[in-house]
Amino acid sequence: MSTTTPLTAGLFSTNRFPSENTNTRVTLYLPIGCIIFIVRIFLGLQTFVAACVLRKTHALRGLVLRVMSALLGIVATSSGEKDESVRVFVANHISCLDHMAVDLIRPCLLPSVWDIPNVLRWLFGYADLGVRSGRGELVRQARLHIKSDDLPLLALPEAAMTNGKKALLRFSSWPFEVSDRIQPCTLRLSRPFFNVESTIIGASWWQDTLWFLFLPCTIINVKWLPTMQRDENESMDSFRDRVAQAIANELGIELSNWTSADAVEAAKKYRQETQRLRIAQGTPSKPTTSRTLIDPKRMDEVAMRIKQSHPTVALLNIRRDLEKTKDMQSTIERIKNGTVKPISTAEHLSNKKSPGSSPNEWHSLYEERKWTMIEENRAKYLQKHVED
Amino acid sequence: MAGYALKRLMTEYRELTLHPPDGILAAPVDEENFFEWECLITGPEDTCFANGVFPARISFPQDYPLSPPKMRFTCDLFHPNIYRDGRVCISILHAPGDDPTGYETSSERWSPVQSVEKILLSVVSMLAEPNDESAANVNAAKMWREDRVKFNQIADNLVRKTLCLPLADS
Repeated sequence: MSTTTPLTAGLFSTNRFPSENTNTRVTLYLPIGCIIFIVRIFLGLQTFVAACVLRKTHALRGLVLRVMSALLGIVATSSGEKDESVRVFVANHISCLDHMAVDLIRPCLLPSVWDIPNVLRWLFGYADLGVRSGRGELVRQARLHIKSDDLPLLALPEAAMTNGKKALLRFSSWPFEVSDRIQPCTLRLSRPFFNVESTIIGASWWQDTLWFLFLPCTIINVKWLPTMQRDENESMDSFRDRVAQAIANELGIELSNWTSADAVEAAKKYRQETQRLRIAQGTPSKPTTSRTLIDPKRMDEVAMRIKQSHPTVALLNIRRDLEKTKDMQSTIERIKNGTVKPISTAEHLSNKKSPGSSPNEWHSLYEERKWTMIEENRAKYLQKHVED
Repeated sequence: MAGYALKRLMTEYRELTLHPPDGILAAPVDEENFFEWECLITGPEDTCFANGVFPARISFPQDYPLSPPKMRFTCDLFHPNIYRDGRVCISILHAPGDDPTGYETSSERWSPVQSVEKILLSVVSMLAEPNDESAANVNAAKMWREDRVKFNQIADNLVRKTLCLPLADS
């Protein structure tokens, strides 16, 4: 599978294993990986507790967490000079543990953009800055935060993960409204021996996390770029573009026009597409073209349309088959290959059975009588017109 | 109130299922909602609507059978007493108080002793004998009076449509 499809524009990977070679290596590593994985699950729980007990300002915390996350296979390295006076960092977004890597190097808070329970948020070290109440509220609370709290804010203005190889998504502008002084940093992720992608399009965060725990180690390099200051007359947008350009230049990639909403949309489309392909491969007789399931309310109408072109098949049988396939094209094919039988005497016999006492039976009886009534009148009508 | 309506509709449903009148079928659209029915009416023999199977919807009010239900054909039907949107204009569906046309006597009106079956039978006879004095579709009424051949032709095509037959050339 190529990593560049029109759907992803090369911004997102579609396959965890960029090369066949990686695939083989991972297969060989699998038994060891599983053991490491299980051990790490327990280690991870301890790390979690440690992270909760040692608050972010604690001096010991950095050391303890770095050792523990190294055991978990996450190594954060840093280069460049961090500017202690800056209150807002901006970074590109390449994996679900980006903020953790930055946090290991320089304790910081990531404004939570997810609607998760407060306890979980506290455990993960996110800050609730009222994103859900709208952007204005986020900016207001973020401004308050950087004035009152020691911890700087980390912003991932792409808001969606990319593979970090082709281009950056369009930055959202809120971090640039919060502060005029911003230190950009770039994140690069590498995995020695196992070149497995940190995230692929449509993957959920827990899948990505499991890969972190499974592989021997992942190195996330944080490179601090020189602090940037918004000029007196510079607009928010142009400041934003300048910072984005600086990050893109450092990473050697371009800026794209894709927003995080586009990324989410692309992921959704990609998921649907793969699902469709999977269904199509499972049943080779069905065409792989896009098929839309029929609304149950329209099934009668569709059954009648099929009857028009396949008059020998009983309406009742068409309708019942539609119930199963929920697709006009598949039912037509089933008629052609004989799965759906033409009018048979058996159908007429079943009409004679006496109704039971439950409304459920009444309804299926009604359906049967309905199509038989149309069928019979149709025959009578044709008979009459032949005689004429 | 709705409880009584439900009980009554259930009784009618049973009756219609056990002893279906000729050429008429009716049942709730789904088991969840007994106040919305689907029904089929066969066009009466020896009329221009003969052998047509016309689908319609009946919506019952919560205080049924005190108030009459509403009926609407879901297929195209060109008929003097059927509005363009399929609503049926027939005296049995009107409560004694309101009379949109002024031509109806109150004995033909809705009352709790009427039933789904009686409504459907009235509609069948309405199909056979349009009442062009209280027209819901003025064009249809006019054509019915003045150009019966063309009216029959339109009716025939509507019948063919309900039977999944290709339209006849006019």
